[in-house]
Amino acid sequence: MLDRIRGRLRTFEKEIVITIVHIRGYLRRLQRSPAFRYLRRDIRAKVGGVIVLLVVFTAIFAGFIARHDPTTQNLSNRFQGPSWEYPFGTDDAGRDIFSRVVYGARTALIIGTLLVVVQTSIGLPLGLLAGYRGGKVDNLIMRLVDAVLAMPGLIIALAFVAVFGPGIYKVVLALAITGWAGCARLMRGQTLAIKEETYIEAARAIGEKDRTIIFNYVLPNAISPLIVMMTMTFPAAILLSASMSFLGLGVMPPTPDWGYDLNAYKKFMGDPMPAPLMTILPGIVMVITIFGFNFFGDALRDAYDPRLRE
Amino acid sequence: MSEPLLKVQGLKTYFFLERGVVKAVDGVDFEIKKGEILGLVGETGCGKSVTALSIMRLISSPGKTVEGKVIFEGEDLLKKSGEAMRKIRGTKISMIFQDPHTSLDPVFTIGYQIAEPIELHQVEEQHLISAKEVPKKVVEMLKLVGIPDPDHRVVEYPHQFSGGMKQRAMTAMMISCNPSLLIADEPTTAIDVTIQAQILDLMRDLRRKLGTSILLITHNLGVIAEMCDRVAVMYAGNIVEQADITTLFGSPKHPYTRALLEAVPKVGAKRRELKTIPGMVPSLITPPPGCKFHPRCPHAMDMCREEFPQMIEVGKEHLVRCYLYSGASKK
Amino acid sequence: MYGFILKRLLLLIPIFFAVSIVVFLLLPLTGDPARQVLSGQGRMDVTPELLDNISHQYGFHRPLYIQYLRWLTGYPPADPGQGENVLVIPRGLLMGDFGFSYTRSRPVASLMLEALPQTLLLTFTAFILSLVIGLLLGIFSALRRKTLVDYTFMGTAIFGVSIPFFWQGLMMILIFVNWLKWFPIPTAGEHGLMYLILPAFTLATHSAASLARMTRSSMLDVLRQDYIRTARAKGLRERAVIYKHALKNAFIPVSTLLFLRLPFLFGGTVIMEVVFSWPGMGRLLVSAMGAYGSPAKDWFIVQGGVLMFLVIAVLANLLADITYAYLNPKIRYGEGG
Repeated sequence: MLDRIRGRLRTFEKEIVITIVHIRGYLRRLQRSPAFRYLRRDIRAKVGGVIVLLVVFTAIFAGFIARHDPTTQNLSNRFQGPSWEYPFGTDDAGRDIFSRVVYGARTALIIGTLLVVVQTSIGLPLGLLAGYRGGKVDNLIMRLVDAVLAMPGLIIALAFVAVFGPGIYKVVLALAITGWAGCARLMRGQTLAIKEETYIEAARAIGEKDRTIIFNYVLPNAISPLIVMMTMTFPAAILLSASMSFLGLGVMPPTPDWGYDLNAYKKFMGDPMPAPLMTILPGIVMVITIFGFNFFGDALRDAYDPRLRE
Repeated sequence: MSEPLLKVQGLKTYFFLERGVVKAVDGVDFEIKKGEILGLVGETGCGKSVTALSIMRLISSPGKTVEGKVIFEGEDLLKKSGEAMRKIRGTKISMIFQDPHTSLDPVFTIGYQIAEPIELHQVEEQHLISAKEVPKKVVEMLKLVGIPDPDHRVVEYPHQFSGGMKQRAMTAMMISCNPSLLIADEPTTAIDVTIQAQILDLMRDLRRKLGTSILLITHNLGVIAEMCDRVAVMYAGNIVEQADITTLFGSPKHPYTRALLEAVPKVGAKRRELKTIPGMVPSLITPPPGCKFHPRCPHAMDMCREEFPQMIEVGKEHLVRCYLYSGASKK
Repeated sequence: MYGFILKRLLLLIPIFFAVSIVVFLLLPLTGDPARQVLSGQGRMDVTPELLDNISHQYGFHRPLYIQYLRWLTGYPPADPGQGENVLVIPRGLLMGDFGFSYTRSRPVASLMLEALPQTLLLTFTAFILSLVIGLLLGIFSALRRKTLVDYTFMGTAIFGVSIPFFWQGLMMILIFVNWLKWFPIPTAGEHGLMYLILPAFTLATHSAASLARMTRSSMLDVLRQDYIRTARAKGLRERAVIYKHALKNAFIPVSTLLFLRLPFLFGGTVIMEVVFSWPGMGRLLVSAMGAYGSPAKDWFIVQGGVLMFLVIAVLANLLADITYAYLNPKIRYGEGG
């Protein structure tokens, strides 16, 4: 009996070692890949990458970076200017604006990540199906995609929240209703192109099943533009969700959100209570975050573009 | 002997890339006389097209013509201003490109594209004909190149033409202003064999009727044999042999020329295997020292590895760049 | 080309029906339309009898497909016998009746008629501005590729795309209204030129930035093509090569993208109208959607507004297709030869 357990443990160890070796091999190949080499030299990737990492880090370790609780009110401490204690000052209820911004980053990234997951879960299989099957299926799906792409996404998202109520998850769903279409179209284009390649013909010729072909050949080769699209979903998600919250149809307290705060602070831009920094500073953080993702995403897109190899 | 129409001396065009400097054209000399058809033959990547583009001064960054003279009708084209060169292009020297499918602008009609050089050069700049006569001339040109129903074809778009007709339309565009020199870069590669024959006939007609000189660039030895008066063989950015056509095919001297000719399969030959040239085309960034062909040459000597050979005259207007013939007088 | 357009026009019909069904369903999906009406009017005294009364007045007791039919065509008409209120039962979208706003006591159609021109004015102005600026910047950058000018413009462009509309609007107000005092304070209902400039410009910068990037990349693509080399080989003037041959080809993909970005532009207009208190459809719609969890939503305005925006979006898409068909000779003249 003990022997059996020992035996199982040994196989388990072996599996772990094999997996680690695989991962190491994959990382090594990744480092040698032309895309990676391109990125190392591109300044956009470096600057953008640094910003993205900073934001992600802040979002994950918000608890450690923010010094105060973002929701604690302290009415004797209102409208403080920036100081060591309160880097961005305090707002009209005495809350530390810096902490709110830090936690707001977490909200923004959560929305972005969830949106990527939901959009891709819908768009990828649909696009794959359309591209692989072709014919009527393709036609039908693409008509739908075209129709959705023509829609004003923000307005539909707002209507969704108006019907079903505010909150992080509702916002994600609201944006995903129209957001999946871009992913689907991309996936379909990729699948169509890959389908024509000779190695697919070869795979069919030796009798490989459709499912194998898709998972082993089509998907890995379609991954690169997909990764670019997933990266570029973040800035769009942050921009749109902040706009929605600004309008009051997005994320609401107590969840901290950049858009919501900016709307609350906008009354203090001028007379009678001028505290413009309240809107300027969090806004700058928001812009830099979105910019970082866009910058990095641009570099990533060029890295995968075969035409830009001299 | 009258002055040659075109005289290229020591032409060097390099491409300055991140991974190194590609010496696409590394010292090229040749001449074309009036009414002569010179063939420029060589494998893909040996620098033939770049030579042609250098003559037309259509080389753009990261490429640059770094040295040499291109003397056309007595003047060095490389020293001319951009504007002066522009006035020569399309009217005194014209070039037909390899792929007719991508070389025509898809959003303008064929008639419009043919009319453009005519309007620009003959009406505006040279005042040879009036603007009113241009449409007629365009139709004339279409007839000349053998496009049927030209009156209706004039308003059609490139995508409505077949490959052969596109090539002919491009030819019409380029000869509309009676160039003295026509450069044809692989004019037959992208089209069917039957249409090839028509295009070549057209070019021969031009030479016969208008005295146009032609620089015919190709890798097809059969076309060379059919069309050219003289031939220059290019390898890795240099001309390695130059002769008139009978001499070149009859008694080729350079090992590369010989290998090329032997590589062409002959009907009725007894040998089963196709003869190839061993080795690979050399890198143009770091070419082999000395004679660039020596790694693949069956007769390579020590000297071939050390010093780059100059052109040697081995017969009447027959030049070879090879140490095998250094007994004869150096050029 | 006409066959192409006809096919697209025919597709409009099923799209319109699909859109109308979705828009119609907005109210029923809330779960309790009668309560929504009451909350919209600010009535807190909600009793089951009152809910039932309202439900019958507005026809919510009828089956969904009847409600939809009514909403679309006005048939079957109000039946006072069932407690249906003639004034509030829909008389048919296709007849021009968008319902009666229970929060503002006016027909929704008249509210929309007032607001729509303002929205179109703002969007159109921004569109033209962004077109001019974006195209010029893009071409300029493409021609001076990899120079300081190029990098500066494109760097600014990436920033331009990264700034959310609403924050940019706030900053514009801060700078140009509060500090420089060049423009008047955005006031509800005002729609003169001085009130138009700031929001139009803010909207335009975002679009211009992305347009510049698209134009630049399209131009660079085109300039690499063989037919540009042919044009030069013909001895054409550089100006003709760029502005005739290159630009015309580069513009085709850009123009399609232009129209496809119109829906996004409308989203931006909605935000701008709220930030600058511009009296357009966007502001109307957002206030009707009930901000900050407020229960006071006017669903008839919401339905009308959303429908309007969706219809405009679909039309913009159609316009994009028509423009593409017109500009691309392969579609305009069909395959031949």
